[in-house]
Amino acid sequence: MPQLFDSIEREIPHLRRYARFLSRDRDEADDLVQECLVRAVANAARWTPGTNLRAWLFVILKNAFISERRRASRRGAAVGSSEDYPEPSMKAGQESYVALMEVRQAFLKLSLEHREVLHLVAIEGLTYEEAAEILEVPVGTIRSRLSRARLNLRGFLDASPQAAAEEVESHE
Amino acid sequence: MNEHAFLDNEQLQDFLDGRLRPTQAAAVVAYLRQHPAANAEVQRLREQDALLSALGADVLDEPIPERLLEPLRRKKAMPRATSPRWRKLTSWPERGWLAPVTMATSLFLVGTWVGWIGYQYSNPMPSFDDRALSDAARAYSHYGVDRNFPVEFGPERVADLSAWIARTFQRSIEPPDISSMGFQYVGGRVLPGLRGKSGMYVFQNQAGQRVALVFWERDETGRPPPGMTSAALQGLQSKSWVTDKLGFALFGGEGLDTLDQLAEAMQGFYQNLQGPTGPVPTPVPATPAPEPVLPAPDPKTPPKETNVGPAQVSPPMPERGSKALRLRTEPKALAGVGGVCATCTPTSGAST
Repeated sequence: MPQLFDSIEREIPHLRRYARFLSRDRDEADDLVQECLVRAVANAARWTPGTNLRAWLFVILKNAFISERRRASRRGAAVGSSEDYPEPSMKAGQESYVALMEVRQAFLKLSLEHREVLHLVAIEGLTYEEAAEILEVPVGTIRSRLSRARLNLRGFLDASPQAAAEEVESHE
Repeated sequence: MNEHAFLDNEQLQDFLDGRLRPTQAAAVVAYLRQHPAANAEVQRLREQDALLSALGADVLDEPIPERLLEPLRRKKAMPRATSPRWRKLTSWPERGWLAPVTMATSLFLVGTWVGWIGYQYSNPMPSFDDRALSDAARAYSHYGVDRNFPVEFGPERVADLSAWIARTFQRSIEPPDISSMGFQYVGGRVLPGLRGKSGMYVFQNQAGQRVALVFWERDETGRPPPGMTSAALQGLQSKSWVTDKLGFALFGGEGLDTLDQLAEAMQGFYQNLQGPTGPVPTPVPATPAPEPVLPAPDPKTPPKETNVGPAQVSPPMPERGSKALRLRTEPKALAGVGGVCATCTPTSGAST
């Protein structure tokens, strides 16, 4: 069991990133992670060894998020999801910085559904089955959402200023 | 991608995410080789995914607030929860300061086990061997079980370990060859902090089961208790025995049903080396093949024994126990005479 807790501890950064995606601000996101960890520890016996721990934790985190939202909406508080990925930090000589900023902006233009499926599969590396469990939709829906999300993202990137500039250059 | 009937958009997702069977994936790759336009699109999507995976990477690097670590830290100090009732009992105070209590509990369990072994010896007070055995059990659970932190001397450094043991114990205690029973030598280590001198050898079979042999120098006078002692507790089983100078304990998981035979083979191995009761001045006559030899020449011990061994007399030996060592290292001494010891390393002589 202590090994499981060590493994859970290693997942905390990813839990925080997913929570930051779901919730509107840092503190709220960390509240969610804390709630998720408390639940995970209490239900540690229900985790099946050999399965993806991150996916299991994400299900707990998502459930914590949903119940928190219900509570908040009963209170009449404003609810909303803002995928507050921080600006990528600038590293010296990092040529891909511009590309990274562009992909971030294009990503934020996507619908919530598309962002979330990309977050789980393309960013966190979960399988379609694991994503399906977290989002409570069939695997086929994951696949079709991914398809549209990726194509839309490419469309937004094509329309980005840099891509347009490259287009112009290549025609000159 | 729509225009490519071969690969619809959903199949493309499976391809990008590595979900196709190898034959299907190979067909897609072959197709892409012949269709540069489609290939370029796939590459774009790949780059896009690579960029995506860096999104929020900054969050991953942020230091984790203490309040998030706390629920885990609190629980990590607790022992394994086997039943809800047990869990309730142990998690009742929900405080980190309970850690010493759980530590005491596990020490108590080990103590109980040792006490039981003591009872087996019909000895009211735990003897040095009993305490050494409890140390050995702890050493096993600390080093022997963990696959990631097994040894400080792997098989390639068996010579270094043997040299260390020969220096420390004033005798050679080489890992027994139990490959005929499916177990290969994985490595060994010195066990610091235990009573007296102690070391451990770890073996593993093809199924990944591990056994560990812990040995220690005894501090007892009088004749050793005969026979072998068995114990089992909490998923761990052990067989232990002693000779006049050394104590041995073989540990394995509870699922292992050959521990008895392994222990007997090892006991036989070391008995052949040391003789059944104390020193035997004559060489072991029944050993036909040369025994497994240290891969590298040992700088200290072999020359000394080269002198003593062939002479078969023992007046200069200071201790009874070290005579037994002579028998063990005789082949090594011969190897030393031969000049190049490395040539004789591959021989895996039968030593039982």
